[in-house]
Amino acid sequence: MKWFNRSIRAFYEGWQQTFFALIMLVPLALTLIGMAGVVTVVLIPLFQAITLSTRQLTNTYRAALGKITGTPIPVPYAAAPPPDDQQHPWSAKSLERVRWLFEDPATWQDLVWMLLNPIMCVLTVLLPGVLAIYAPTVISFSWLIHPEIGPMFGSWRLLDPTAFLGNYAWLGLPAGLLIAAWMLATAPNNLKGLYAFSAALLAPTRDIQVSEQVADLTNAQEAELRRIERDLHDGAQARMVAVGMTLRTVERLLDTNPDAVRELIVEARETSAAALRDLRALVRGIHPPILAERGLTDALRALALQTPLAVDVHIDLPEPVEPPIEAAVYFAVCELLTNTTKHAHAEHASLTLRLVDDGIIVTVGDDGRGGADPDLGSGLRGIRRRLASFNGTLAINSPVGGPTTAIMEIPVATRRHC
Amino acid sequence: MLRVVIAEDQYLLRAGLARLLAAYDIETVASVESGDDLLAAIDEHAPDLAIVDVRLPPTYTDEGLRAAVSARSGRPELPILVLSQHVDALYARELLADGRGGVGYLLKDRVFNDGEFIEAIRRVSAGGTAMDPEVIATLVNSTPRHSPLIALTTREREVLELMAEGRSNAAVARQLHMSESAVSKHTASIFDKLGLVATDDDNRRVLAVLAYLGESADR
Repeated sequence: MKWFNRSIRAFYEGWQQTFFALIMLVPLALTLIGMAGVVTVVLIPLFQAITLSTRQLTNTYRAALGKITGTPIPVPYAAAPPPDDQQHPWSAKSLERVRWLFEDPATWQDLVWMLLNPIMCVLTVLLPGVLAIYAPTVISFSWLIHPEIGPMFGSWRLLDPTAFLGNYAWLGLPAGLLIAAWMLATAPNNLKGLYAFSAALLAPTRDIQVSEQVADLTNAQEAELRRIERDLHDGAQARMVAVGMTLRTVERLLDTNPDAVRELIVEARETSAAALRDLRALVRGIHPPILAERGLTDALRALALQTPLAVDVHIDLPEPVEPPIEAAVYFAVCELLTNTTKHAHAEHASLTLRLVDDGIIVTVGDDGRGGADPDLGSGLRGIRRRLASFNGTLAINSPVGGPTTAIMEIPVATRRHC
Repeated sequence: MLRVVIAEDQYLLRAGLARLLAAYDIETVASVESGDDLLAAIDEHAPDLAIVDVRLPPTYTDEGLRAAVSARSGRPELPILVLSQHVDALYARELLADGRGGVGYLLKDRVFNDGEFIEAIRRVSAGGTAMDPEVIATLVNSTPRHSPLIALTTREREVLELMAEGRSNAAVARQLHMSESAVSKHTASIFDKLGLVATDDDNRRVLAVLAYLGESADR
């Protein structure tokens, strides 16, 4: 029976352990809850603060890079939800903000850029730079003295890199100079590549771009319709009402006061002429008649003809492009030539249009005083918006002192490719 | 009696124009709706003047203008008056390109001022020129800053603009309330400042001024 007593006792003692273990679940839960509290109270605000201040830095860099390359990099972040006024890190609004940051692909793109950019800098700037100094000094001349110092990498010595060539160590002289020349020659393109890399990662993703384009288009269209409505309402429409009223008065005075009638008819005629002038101006702003009648080439030539500057026109457009693109290019060139006339103090301007494989490239240049800021001026922003709906871009190069060049690139599917 | 052919696709304008012309003893021998019909009507009726709308069916682009230019290449002496809802310096230059007179280019609204409109018709059919003031204004405003036009006085500029529209000295004098000899003096001064060779022939003078304006806008 001894073994039986022992078993019972074991169960009894085991039960005590179990009881204690169950009780200990309570502090475990409490600790976990506490830790979760600390995570939400400390880490959530920390995450928000760090991400948001990082964005300020990347935005500063975006603006600077845009100035350097001439093509502004749009800010890619999704619109922020309303700010959290309660300041509870666990409030629904705060969590919504966290989700906003988490789900924005731009947040992750920024992280990837922050990780890769230093590597790219080392590869494109630092290494070539070091090599450009190392090659014409150490590689070129170490064979003269064969210094037996410096770190070894296997059988290769850093400060005597040509030693392994033995009797041919003098080859280091041309090789070093060649490498240095190569590094110097490729430096500008490397820098361009670095810019392009950063610009690609820092710009909005396709999805965001598309949704912004749609929003921009909708807003622009809405504003345009509103303007047309207002112009018609205050212009032609009002004048035609006046004409109608005048004619009605004429009708009444016809038998009694022929002199007044004559005056009124002149007035009606003049008012209807003014209404026509209004309509003509409006039509020009909606879709220039010459564009409808002649297409882009002649419409641009007509624009150049109207510009009070000597404009060199070179247009090579063997096949027509889509009408909306024609209109966008027309209005953009119109705006650019107007800017040149108004601000550039230029004597000559040039306008070229070329059809390349995947799009058209339009260049408007002048020999004026430069200093045009692509970020200032609603006109330039308007051009950018309009072009953006066709994935077109506008780059402006305008150093102070001139000259100014504006380059528009618009991808078009010409009929060749269809 | 002047005999004209009208090419205009909108019935109201076509009929209204014919009625207006009839009131001034100008006979509309044919009114057509398209560029092809215009060429046929010119061949058939040999009119003294063709009045052509720029935009005609079927393409509603610049068919009328092209028909007018091609009609003139067949009959260089045929006077043409081109009407449009808008005017453009580029078209004006194309119409004037052959350097002969007998060309008019006016906004349709000019019909409202029937006196001047009929005068323009008579001028063009007599081999003269009638350019819309808006075209002239565009050309004058688009001359570069350093152009000799800047040297003109305000009065000379007014005379130049009216002259470029195709008006004779007498008409310019009437319009500006000055004597004809004063106008002559101004025109002589204008030609001197612009470096053009003076001529007594009204029409050649007009064409010279238009050519000058067109070129300086282009350069």
